[in-house]
Amino acid sequence: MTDAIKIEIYESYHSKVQNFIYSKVNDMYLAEDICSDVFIKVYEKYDRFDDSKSSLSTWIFTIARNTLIDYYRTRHVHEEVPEDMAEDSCVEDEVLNNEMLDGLAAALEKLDERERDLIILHYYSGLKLNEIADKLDISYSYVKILHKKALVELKTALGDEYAL
Amino acid sequence: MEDRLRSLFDYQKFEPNDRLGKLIAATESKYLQSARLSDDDLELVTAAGTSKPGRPTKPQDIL
Repeated sequence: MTDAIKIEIYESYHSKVQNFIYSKVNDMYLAEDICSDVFIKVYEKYDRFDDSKSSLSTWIFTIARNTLIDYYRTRHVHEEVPEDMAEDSCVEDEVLNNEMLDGLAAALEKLDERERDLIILHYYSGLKLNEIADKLDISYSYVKILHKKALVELKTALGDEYAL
Repeated sequence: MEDRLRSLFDYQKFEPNDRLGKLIAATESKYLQSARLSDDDLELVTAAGTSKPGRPTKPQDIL
């Protein structure tokens, strides 16, 4: 891997990686530290990157996500990995691209406004269901019902194509 | 299923999709106050709004 490629990758993805990690840790210095770890791994593993299995963007994103999970596991011994961080991702199994995000947007647009807000607040903003109940001014039990309903509707809207 | 949904929303934070971003912005503007940067974090943001790392992190430092 040439220095020119390393620089190109760094300049193309540094902001994306940093923004993503910062959105999780809310600490600029910590985000930069973890970001550095991500790029060390990217450079170490680049020779094994197979563009027939995933895009470079998805590959780097997966490394960033797994690095973040590793951080929580090794440095926060007494804390669990946050609920909004899924388990380690296997690059070959994950298909992530702009088209899928567009499909998700289309599916969300079909939901009732409150269900859409619930899904976004829970899966993007990271709020727990009881916190969402407070925000939406409804009971916790009703939020759970709406949550399940929204997931069923999303699965129907997205279908098997996105394997939700 | 939920893990897949989390993956998609995480990817949105990495490679934002405009259409999805508008839906998110609409929801968050209704229910969440905008995050306020701490004074320490503000020192890392230039007047142009770009961020500057607190320590050298040029690719040459990692190479």
